[in-house]
Amino acid sequence: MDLAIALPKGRLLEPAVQLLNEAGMEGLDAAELSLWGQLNCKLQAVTVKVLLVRDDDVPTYVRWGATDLGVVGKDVLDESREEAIELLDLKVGECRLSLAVPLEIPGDGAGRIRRIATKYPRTSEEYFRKIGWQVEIIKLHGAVELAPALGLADAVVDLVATGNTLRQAGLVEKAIIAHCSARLIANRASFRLKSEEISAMENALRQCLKRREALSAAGGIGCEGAQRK
Amino acid sequence: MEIPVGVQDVLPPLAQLQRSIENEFLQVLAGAGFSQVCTPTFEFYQLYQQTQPEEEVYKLIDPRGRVLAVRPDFTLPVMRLALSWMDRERLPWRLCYVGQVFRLRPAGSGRNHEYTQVGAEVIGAQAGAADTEVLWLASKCLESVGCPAFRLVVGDCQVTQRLLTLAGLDDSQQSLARAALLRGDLVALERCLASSDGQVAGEVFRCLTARGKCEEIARTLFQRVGDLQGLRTLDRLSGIVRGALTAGVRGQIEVDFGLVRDMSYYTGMVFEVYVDASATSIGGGGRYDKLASVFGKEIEAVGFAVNVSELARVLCRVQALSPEERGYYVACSTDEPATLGKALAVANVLRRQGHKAEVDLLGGSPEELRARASAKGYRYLLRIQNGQVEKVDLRQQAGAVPGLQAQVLSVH
Repeated sequence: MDLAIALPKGRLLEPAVQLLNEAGMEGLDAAELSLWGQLNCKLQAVTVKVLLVRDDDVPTYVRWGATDLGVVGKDVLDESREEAIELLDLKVGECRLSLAVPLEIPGDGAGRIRRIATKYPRTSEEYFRKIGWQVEIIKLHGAVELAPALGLADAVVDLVATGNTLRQAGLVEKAIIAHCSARLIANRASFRLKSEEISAMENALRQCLKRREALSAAGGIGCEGAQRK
Repeated sequence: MEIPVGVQDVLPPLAQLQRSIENEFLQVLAGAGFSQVCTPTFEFYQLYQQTQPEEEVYKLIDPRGRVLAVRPDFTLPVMRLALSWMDRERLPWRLCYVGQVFRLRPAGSGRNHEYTQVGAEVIGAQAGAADTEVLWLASKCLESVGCPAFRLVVGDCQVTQRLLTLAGLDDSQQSLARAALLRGDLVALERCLASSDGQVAGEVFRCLTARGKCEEIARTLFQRVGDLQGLRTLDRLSGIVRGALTAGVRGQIEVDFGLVRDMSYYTGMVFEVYVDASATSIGGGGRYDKLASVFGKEIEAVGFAVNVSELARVLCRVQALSPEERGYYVACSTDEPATLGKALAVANVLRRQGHKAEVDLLGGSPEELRARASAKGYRYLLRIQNGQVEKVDLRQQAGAVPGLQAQVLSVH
């Protein structure tokens, strides 16, 4: 049986394509995928249809079986609440989902922070309910880090990779809510009905991740750096 | 016209299809000695308190202020019914049911809050033959309605528990691992097992995620560490599965010890049914030997249920109804009572021959009648005029001269 996989537009596309290529996917190219929106590729004996979709649509495609598999950030997956089998941590696009607070707020901000801007309202609400903060959550679609300076919110919950964006906006990372990276996810029914094909892809990716780990341990260089030479 | 979130009107032909699926299932079950029972649509919430997540239950308040639950599940009330009414001399009890269940779902999940289940329970039979029979029955029910390729995924709570224990997980870690399996979060499962200092944790992870190959891995593992209890439970499950295969279960069976179901009351064999054209499982079941303890009793039991609302949608997509099956539209001039009587008689003859026949009530020109019959999806139009019956094949109508294919039928 053939497989279909949804890849996310944006920052995870390049590393995901690179990883799949390393795992032996033939005919997959990020530029062509961006141009055509979909490509027919091959992994071992399995024909794989690769679709390019918005990152926050990947869990929906997989949940409803439009594709058997998907690659998506853990942040987007948790926020979507869609049911899917989370098969594998692909260890690319690693970052943190964090609470960031303006420099001038002392301590952890408890009691001072009443309103929070974020792209992740569900995850944030759950987190603050758990730690017992009474806060109001505002959903923004972009440039979240500007919200405190504009008086829109007291703090933000956002993805942090290097921390540069936060620093420039005068924010400090106060608490890590979750560690995120790209995940390989599968539709529940496909996971059962196409278990052989999905296992083949999963194993190819696992081996590839193991090679990368060995490489970075031996050379002490980041695996993506090593790939680019 | 707005209706509440989570419920849907069911239209023709889906409603009819769903009803016929229910009937086919009940016929298979009745043939195997199952008696049908009905339980109330609402009961005290307390009944479900131990087994059903609180946020999934639709609740009502009765006039005396007590909390009621609108049936979220059949297994528990059927067990209550059986323990209240059934004769202990006639064990095992074979009971089946059809009806709606109601479960609140998170907003935006796209899942219906109301759906129809057909299910069966064997109460008072220990693990083994009864489990095999349940797998066989589930498969027979699906075959009876011409279900396309399906797969039964079979697991076992006790084998899963032995594996997690072998991996060195304590009780709280085990419930984390089970929750991760239920969510399908294999990354969390891998981390949970990696954090354990158990020597075989890695192997256990492979076993729990190997799907079809997990039986061999588990056997090798249990043999190597000399886990006799593990081997016993594994042998029992293998026997159940072999039995079902020998009995001619047509759907493929795959053993998977990573299978954890959303009801907490299962104690042994569990299974889920997957169908080609559906994105989620459409049914399942398992053994629940401890459920009677909710009522302070002890009795072993096993059962299954299928979501026939979802199955009907799947079958409707797969096997679009063919026009040949759609019967006759019988028309006459309605202002002549004598012809109307004749039309009703003609329709009745057709029905006795097993065809569907609908009598026209609005009248009109031959063109209007043809258009109406086609729009309603009928294959043939019968026009009764001057005591003669004219039969028109509507499928061959396109572009043809009206009346050319008309044949004269004599009806006695």
